[in-house]
Amino acid sequence: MAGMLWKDIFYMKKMKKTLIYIILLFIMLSAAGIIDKQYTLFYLTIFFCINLSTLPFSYDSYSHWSEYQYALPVSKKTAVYSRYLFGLLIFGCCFVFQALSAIILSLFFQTEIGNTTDFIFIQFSILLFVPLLQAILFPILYRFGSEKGRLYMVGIIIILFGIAGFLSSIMETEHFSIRPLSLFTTMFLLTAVLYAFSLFLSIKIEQKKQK
Amino acid sequence: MKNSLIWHNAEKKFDTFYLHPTNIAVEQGSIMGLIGENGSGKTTLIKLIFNLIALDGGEIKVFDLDSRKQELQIKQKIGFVPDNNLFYEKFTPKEIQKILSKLYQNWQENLFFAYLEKFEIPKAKNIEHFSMGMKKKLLIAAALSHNAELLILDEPMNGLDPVARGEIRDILQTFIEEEHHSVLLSSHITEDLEKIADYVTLIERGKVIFSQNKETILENYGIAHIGKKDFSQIQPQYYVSFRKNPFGYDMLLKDKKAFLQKYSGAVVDNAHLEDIMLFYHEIKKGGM
Repeated sequence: MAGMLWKDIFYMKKMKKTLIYIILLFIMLSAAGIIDKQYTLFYLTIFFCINLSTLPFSYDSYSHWSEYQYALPVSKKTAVYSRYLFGLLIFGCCFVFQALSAIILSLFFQTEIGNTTDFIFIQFSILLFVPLLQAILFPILYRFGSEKGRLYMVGIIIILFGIAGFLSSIMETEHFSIRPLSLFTTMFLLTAVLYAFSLFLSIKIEQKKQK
Repeated sequence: MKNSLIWHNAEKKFDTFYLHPTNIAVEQGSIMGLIGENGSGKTTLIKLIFNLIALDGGEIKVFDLDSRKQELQIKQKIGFVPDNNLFYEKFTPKEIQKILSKLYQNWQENLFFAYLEKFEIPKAKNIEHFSMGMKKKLLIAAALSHNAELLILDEPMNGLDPVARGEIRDILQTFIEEEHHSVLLSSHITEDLEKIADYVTLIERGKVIFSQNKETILENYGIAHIGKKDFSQIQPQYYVSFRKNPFGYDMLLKDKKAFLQKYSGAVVDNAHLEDIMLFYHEIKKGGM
């Protein structure tokens, strides 16, 4: 499994310059006051991280890696496990990036953090959209391939963001508030169940594939 | 001699293609050449070894291990060289080393780098800057660095110049100097197989036409050149197929000695593997 994980990490290493440019863009947008709200930053971070976690599918497809992988001593199951682990790794990086960005924004632009524990729970809850989206998208990418899958991916992201926006606007107008810990627990459980199911589904899809 | 690879009544049905029950054995210490036109079933035979497609009948044994039940153990013992570079082109050989070293139990880092040095492949340069020959040699280095006992090469000579092809032939010959090593080489370039293969298997439309010692094949097969007038006198059991030419007919003979005994005085040349492949293809076109 480690070999497959290293491959995906090396893909990211090749994206080093692009990653730096994007982070610089984030900083510039923040400095210009365009990213003045935490929400905007969240949307951008989630979108960016989802793109990163699906990139290995594109690179694999571009180089026809699967034709080589099938001759390697690694089972399809292990290869899928490794891809999901990579997804979680991206999620971890995404969390650190988001937390740091939020702290920087609060220091320089006086955005509110409030209670630290609540802050971490809220950050984590919203960022759980990353593994949640991975759980939805990975089986699609396994089933339809990266080219077709990415088209579905854009559609799904737009729909999910739409739903999230709609729900948050309802919550705002109805003055409905949810405790950060409850939000975190709900999101965490939902994501964990979906992630496990998605992993199972992707393994089945891969095992059924015959080239 | 022990066999490293055996297809025993291996069978596969697709909607538009049928690999008939196939029996082939690759001896240890030998190179088996696999020839046949595109779509004849060569790649299907290879995919079955890796359990990439499921067998519909029969079995495949690699070092006495079952291809379906002991897939991963088998893959540890096989070095695979695909027809094209399948590594991401922005990777460097060093990065590939890191990836593969985590996958193969017997990976030898020093050996891999020694091969890179021998093949003059820079280890820290992106693959995209390599020539086709260098990419092939990198794939071969990767296939040779985990103590593989069986090398499977799918069209390794495609797109290579004669010098690079010669180098790859040398690598393969050195590899089988170890008694328990063997090579399965699928190639369109029959000239290379004539130079290095010990055995040759011809497959046409999913059927194995022959799987024999190369010397025996070249010794037995021949091309007879028959005039228009004499053509009707030749009994069909003496030839495989024929091709018309401006002066008469060329016929592929399965047993040139028997033919010459029957038709003494006939002009018969030795057949090359390419001729044999082409004439068997004629049967499909109706040239018989």
